Amino acid sequence: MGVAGSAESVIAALDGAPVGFALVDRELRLVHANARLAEWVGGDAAGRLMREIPALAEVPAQVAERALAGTPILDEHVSGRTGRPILLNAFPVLSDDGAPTGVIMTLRDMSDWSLERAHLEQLATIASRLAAAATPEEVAEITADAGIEAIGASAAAVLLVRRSGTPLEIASARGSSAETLDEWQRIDRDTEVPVAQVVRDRAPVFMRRDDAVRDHPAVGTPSDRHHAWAALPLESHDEVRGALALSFTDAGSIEPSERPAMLALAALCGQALERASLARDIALANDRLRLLADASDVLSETLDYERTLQQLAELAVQRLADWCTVTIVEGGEIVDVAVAHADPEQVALVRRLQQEYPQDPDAPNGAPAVIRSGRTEYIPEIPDELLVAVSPDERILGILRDLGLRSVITAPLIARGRTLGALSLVLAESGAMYQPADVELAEDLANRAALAIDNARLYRERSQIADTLQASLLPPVLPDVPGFDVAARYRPGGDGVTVGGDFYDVFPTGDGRWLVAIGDVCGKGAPAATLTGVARHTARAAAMDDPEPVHVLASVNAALLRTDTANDLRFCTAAVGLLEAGSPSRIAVARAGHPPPLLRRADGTIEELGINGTLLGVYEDPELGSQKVAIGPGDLLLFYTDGVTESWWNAGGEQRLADTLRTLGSDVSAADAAAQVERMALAGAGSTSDDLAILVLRAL
Amino acid sequence: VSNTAFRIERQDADGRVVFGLHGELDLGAEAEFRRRVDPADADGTVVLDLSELSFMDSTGLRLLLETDTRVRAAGGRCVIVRGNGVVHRVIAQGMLESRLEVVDDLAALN
Repeated sequence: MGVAGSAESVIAALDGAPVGFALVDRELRLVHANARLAEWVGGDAAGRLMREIPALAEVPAQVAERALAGTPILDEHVSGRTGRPILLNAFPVLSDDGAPTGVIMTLRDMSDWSLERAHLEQLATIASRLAAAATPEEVAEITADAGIEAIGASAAAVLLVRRSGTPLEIASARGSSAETLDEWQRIDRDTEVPVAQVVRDRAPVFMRRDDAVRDHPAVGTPSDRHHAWAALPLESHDEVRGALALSFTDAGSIEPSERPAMLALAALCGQALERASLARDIALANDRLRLLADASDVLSETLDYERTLQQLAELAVQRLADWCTVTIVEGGEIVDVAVAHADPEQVALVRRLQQEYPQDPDAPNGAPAVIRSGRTEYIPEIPDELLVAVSPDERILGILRDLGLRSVITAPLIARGRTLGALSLVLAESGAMYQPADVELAEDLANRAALAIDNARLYRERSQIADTLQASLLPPVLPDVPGFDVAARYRPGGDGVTVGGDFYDVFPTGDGRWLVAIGDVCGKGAPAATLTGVARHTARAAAMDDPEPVHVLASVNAALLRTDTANDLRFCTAAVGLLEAGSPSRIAVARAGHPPPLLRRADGTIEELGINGTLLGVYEDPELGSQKVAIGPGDLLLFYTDGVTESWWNAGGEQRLADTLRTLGSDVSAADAAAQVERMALAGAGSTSDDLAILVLRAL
Repeated sequence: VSNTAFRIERQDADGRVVFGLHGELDLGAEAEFRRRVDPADADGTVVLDLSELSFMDSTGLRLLLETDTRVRAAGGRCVIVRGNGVVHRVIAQGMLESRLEVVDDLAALN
């Protein structure tokens, strides 16, 4: 009773002090608490056990218990659950025979403590530098510098949690040996080391050499150089973004009076990290939009999709991945069409491997699996077991391990409901890992690539159909016409997928004469191609019957009128010549609304051939007539369609055609003459929106 | 470019419809021509005035022939006002002057 009574009176005298005072007995029951303490624990605490009072139940109770062992506990720093920093002191109350009978505790709220002026100035400087930092890396650098310069640590390291769920990684360090940095480069968060603990508990740890040895055996033997350490969580709002680790040569550096500066640095750093990561998120979002826009540009440039996909892969490697591969299904096979990496030697290596080890279509992972399922495969962190599973042999496993593949997204290339292939983005040596948001981006990219492939394939198919159809409308090979050198040029206008309406033909009539025909069906595409086919084949059939040009044209007219054109009016212009070799040779020409064939005499004069008649396919009774001329050696006959002179209506193309013919030498080959005319036509028209057909016969 | 763009002005007077065609009558003009030139709502006489056309190609010629065929099939009269040399040449080359009713100008119609 005696000791309690005397202590009580002492404490009563301190009732008005700004510091909390308490007297507890050996059961840690509060015998007395002053007004400040009562206020702090939220009500009169006298008579209650410390363990029953939330504000005292943990660290203060432990400190009191330790003091009961007989030694005073001085300046214990507590970052209480309430968030306020508390400084605890506990003094054992000894009986006359030296046995502890109770503890006197002082609890001081430190949040009101003013920082030293020098610290304040330094912190203000650091705060303004941190405010200017744009990236988490810069924030880490500034914070590590401040740990040395402002706090006085001999070594400082900032460890960051790059992405939720990933280990802590050293982002910046000062004053540590290379070996130490290597050892602590990545720290799993459940490791029993102070930096991991502060991230988990979100409370700082301050320790001297004996605390370190006792509480953190996992750290190993501390270096002789250091005698105190601090680990502080870097947090802002509700997120822990990393830890600040400080090492001191002087054990006094973590005295409670020194701690507020460290806590302030950690708080500033946490806020700066939040700002930088927001800024980075915004920059990243912008980058993504730009990447998608650039990808669309690349993909729309050409219909050569193999080349386009390689460009896309290279774009991805510049912005989004260490590796990018594109795989497509071609003729039932899975083919790697594009591989990109910053290092061309690496690309060459992978290309060699791809040739040696073709894709297994039944593989459980990667592009084949994604192509089969049509679903994205996202592996944020590639486990070694996966490398083992996908490697066909030890050699490949070794190579895959050396590549350091870390994170992968493989997205299907889907267009019009069909999976055409897969796009893989891989992170390796950069050390980064893909997040869920990257999956969306990869899928976006894959969709664009798929559309480009689909369009290119559709175009190729249509273009092949058009070519095939077109070929059926022209003679595959021009025949040898005795006494004449014959050549033709044909160029379908427009986009290459539309069948043109021009045709020409040269064939023997069976009686030693030859029929030369050229025509132009109004319009393009399948309906025009149908009529072109009708015109050409009718001309051949009619010529067997009677090769006179007027008869041939009248037959074509009748056939066109009988052809169903779905109520669309379709007409055809044509010129037909019946060629009779001899001395001299002769040609009879009839025209139906067609530009006149030209005869360039060996002496350079130019004549228009034939009599014009009504265009074909509209009227039952076309007016038609023919005219015959003699042809001498070196004379050149030109049959053409209006694509050749398309611009003459506007710009004198007909005159230029005549000029071109005049400039040809008298011994020009038919092929050269046709090529010259074509060149003139393209130069004059400036484009090939119209078809052009050119047929040249030169009398030998 | 504005003077080459195709344009149609329609005038209904004295029991006939005059379609004044301006600019270039080619593939690019086909949709507009089909939308605006509807011979079915003409009462008797349809006039296609080519005098303000700067250009006409085979597509343009097809549109003229279609209109002419339809108007005649409906028992009407289709008159074409001659265009400039370039435009008229397309009609002349097809030997259509004898098939179509071509007049030199609107005044000649009366």
